[in-house]
Amino acid sequence: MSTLSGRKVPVSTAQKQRAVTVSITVSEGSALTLALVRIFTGYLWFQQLYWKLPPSFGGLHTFVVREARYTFIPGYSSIIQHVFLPNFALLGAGTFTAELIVSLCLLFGVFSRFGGLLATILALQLYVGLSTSEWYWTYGMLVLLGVVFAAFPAGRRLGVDQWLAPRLQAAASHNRIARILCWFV
Amino acid sequence: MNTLRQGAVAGLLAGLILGMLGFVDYGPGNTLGGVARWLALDNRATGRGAGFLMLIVLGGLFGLLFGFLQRNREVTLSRSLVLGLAVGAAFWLIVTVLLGAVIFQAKFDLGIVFGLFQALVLLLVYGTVLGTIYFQSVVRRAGEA
Repeated sequence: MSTLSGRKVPVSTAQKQRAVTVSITVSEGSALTLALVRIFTGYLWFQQLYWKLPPSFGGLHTFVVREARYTFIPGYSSIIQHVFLPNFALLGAGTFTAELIVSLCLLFGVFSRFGGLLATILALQLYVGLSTSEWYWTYGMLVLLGVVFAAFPAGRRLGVDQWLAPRLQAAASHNRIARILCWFV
Repeated sequence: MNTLRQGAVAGLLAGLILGMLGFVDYGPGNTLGGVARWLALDNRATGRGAGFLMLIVLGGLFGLLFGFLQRNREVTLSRSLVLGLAVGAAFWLIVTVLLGAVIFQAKFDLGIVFGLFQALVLLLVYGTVLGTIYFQSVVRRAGEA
């Protein structure tokens, strides 16, 4: 119960929670800082394409073999040896394409949250396969960076999402695809 | 005049970001030595610094071009983005392809093709940043007025 103008009125739990949870407004400076970090992270992913270029995806093969040796998940080594390595060309093409998409999404800030989500999945795979072979947190931090860009709309400053987001939000009320795409900007 | 100045400032800032991206490599900053090579300014002692400064100065010059092309036109985010991307593509074509590949007569192997693609992506990022910074500065000035 709460007192309003001298009268006792009931206050719902939701109202009580709203009173103590002040909404957060991100400042322009904070948004620009995260946009800069997004661009740097995107370029980091882009740089790593250089040593796994098609058609051979040569550098990647060494790392997949290392993953089979160092993974900490039981059975994953067997999947790498019996599924991934025999179909290496397909794996290489898929990995190269996925990493190219991540880098372009983050560099240009276009569907940047999708880029963050994809980066999280790719980095998790690296974490599972390689984290015990290097400093444990190398890939852990890569996962966390991906999570940050999946959670925060960093493409809405210094990126194409600044243009895309209001258009998708306007179309979301009458278009299901726009509603889904809204999640990724 | 105001448009030119705003374009140049946006270009300098976008060029600064471009220069900072030069440190995302195995150097740090080896890529910047490659940039200095565009104008034959590379050497072990000062190549990186020269490349870093070159990117900022060239960024400012192409920002000036952006401001010139934007003059007397209504400023919208879509126009700023498209114009920024076009200026970034012009930057790539004039400086990287003409100076880098033609003057130094580079052989077109896969490494060079990826290098050119890498430069194109980076300079399109420069264009995106240039367009959004310019738009943001115009919006802020309009808000203050």
